[in-house]
Amino acid sequence: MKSISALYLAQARQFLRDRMALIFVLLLPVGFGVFFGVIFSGSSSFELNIGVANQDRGPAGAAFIEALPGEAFNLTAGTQDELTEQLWKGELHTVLVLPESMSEDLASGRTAQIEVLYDSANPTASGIGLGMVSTLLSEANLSMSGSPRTLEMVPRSVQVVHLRSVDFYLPGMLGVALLWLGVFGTAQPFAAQRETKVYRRLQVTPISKRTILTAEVSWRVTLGVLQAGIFLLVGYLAFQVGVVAWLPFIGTVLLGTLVFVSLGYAIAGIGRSLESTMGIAQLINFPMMMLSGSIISADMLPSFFKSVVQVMPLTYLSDLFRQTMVGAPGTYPMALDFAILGAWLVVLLGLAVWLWRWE
Amino acid sequence: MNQAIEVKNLRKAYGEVKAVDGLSFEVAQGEILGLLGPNGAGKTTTVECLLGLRRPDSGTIRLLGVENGSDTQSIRARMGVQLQSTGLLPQLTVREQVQLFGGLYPNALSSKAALSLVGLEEKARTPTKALSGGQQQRLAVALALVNKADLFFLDEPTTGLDPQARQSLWAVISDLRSEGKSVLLTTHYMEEASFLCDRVAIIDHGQIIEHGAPQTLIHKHFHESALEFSAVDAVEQEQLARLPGVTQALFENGHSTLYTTDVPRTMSAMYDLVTAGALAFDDLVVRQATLEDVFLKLTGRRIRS
Repeated sequence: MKSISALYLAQARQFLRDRMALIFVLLLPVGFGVFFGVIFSGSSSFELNIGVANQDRGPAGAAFIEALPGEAFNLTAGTQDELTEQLWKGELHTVLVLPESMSEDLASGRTAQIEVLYDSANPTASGIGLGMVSTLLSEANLSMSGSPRTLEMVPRSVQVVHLRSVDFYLPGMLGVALLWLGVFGTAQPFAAQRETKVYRRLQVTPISKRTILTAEVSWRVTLGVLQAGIFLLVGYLAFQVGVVAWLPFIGTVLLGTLVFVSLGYAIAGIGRSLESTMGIAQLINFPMMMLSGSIISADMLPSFFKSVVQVMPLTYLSDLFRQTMVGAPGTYPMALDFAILGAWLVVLLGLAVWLWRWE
Repeated sequence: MNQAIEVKNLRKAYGEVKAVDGLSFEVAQGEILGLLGPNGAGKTTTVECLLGLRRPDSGTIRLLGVENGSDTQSIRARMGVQLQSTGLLPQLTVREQVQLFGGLYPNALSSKAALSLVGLEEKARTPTKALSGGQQQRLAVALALVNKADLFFLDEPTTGLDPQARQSLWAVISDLRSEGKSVLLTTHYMEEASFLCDRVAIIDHGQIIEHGAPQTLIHKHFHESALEFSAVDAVEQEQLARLPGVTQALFENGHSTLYTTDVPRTMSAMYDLVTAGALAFDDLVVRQATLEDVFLKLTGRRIRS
């Protein structure tokens, strides 16, 4: 225990005083996340997209739709389920649901209730949407019967997750941060210390290799947790990005750290010198970073890359971070993400042990 | 008496090259043994085999009474090691570096005590990367001394040190012996070996070609004194070798050495040659034969060539 803490402390000091390591592993990822989130956040000019689900069994619904002034907004017709899904995706700003009994109600002089679904997470769009809809309804009221308040608006908020660009980039860059913890925070220092014969010197002390590894991996897990903390702090203070599912989030941080630390040791095992280790590291780092859907959305990539995307561990890690931090709808179910990352951990750990080189 | 180190028939080859070719030696408790040899003689390979950094092809090694390979950890806990190239973490301060290694041993000196042994107290807060070569060397020795060990391996501990630092380190190593600790030392400095070592073993081509106490070796190989002076040309060399009293003459990069049983007769003969204009030289020194002379005689080379 005494020797583990001595080694842990030495590794921590060595890391924290190395400016390059500090910048690359701890500061650059969160900086990139914020940077991308901000520069790509310019939204296009506002156009109100309204969906109308006509469930009326009589003619009044169709007449109502006919009466809507089409030039004021884009109108989409469909079933309530279809339209709600589009609302979820952010394609629609509000959805009107014309009730089944609309014709009957109007015919018998009752007030027909029209549900208006809107996205509470997007107050601007839903505010404009609701305002416009209420104007429309009063106009329709006037033109349809002459007597006021035949049609009534019932606003109903639906839980819609609205993804801003920072919601995409910040969790994605946390995934990249853990990749860099493996590449620049594990492979590089290990290869450097191996080259300067630090491990050779430690070999003639009474500590076992397991002790050295325990200390090293503990320090790197600390770094992973620290990194997640920095992302949460910056994300919360600057963008109100928090965590929506704590337990899976913590699990993701730990699993992701172990996967990429193992990757780092495996890379250092392949490389003979510091230079060759860093060459291999870059060869893995760059494609993984660009193709994993962490920086560039996987939808934007040519289909040729799709199969590569589906193999890389970072794809699943970033998917998990998006789901657990901002509650974004996942590309994959969380259980699948965890399963694939777990499989990667087994493979990379095996590779790291198999390729291990102290000298 | 219990031997701190017992090596029998150690062999290690790299391909065709026999780096260590059947070495056997012992180091007693409280003894300092010096391994002397030119570069490539097999000293470092021997030390690395003893430390378990290399696997010997054959031979037995017993450290502190324990057969090689068994109970390695508890044996290593009783050894202090200074390697020729010590891996240091560049960002750590000198004190932190010593604390790290102190933390790896069950019985360690305080970092302050270890640093004062090598005279680095004032550099305690300096980052390792900012140390000079000599300071790094002293730090490497401190990392060996921080363990309250029974057996020390010091691989060229004073290389790169200024004379003053070297002398004070000699005192520290002598103190280890008076505390009953054993030391295996390799060195390039014959003066150091003469001063520190109870016995020396001269290694060449992976074999021990001579061993014994430094004074014993000198007396065994030289009844003569040595005359040293600047280089002379080939004709002069021949004349000098035939002067009265001269038993051996060595001419070697920029140096001439005559070993003579009769200093006054040899010198007066040289004086005659000089006045006759047949000889010219500078920087004459007359001295007793040393370990360096023994080394030169046995290996045909100076140790630091």
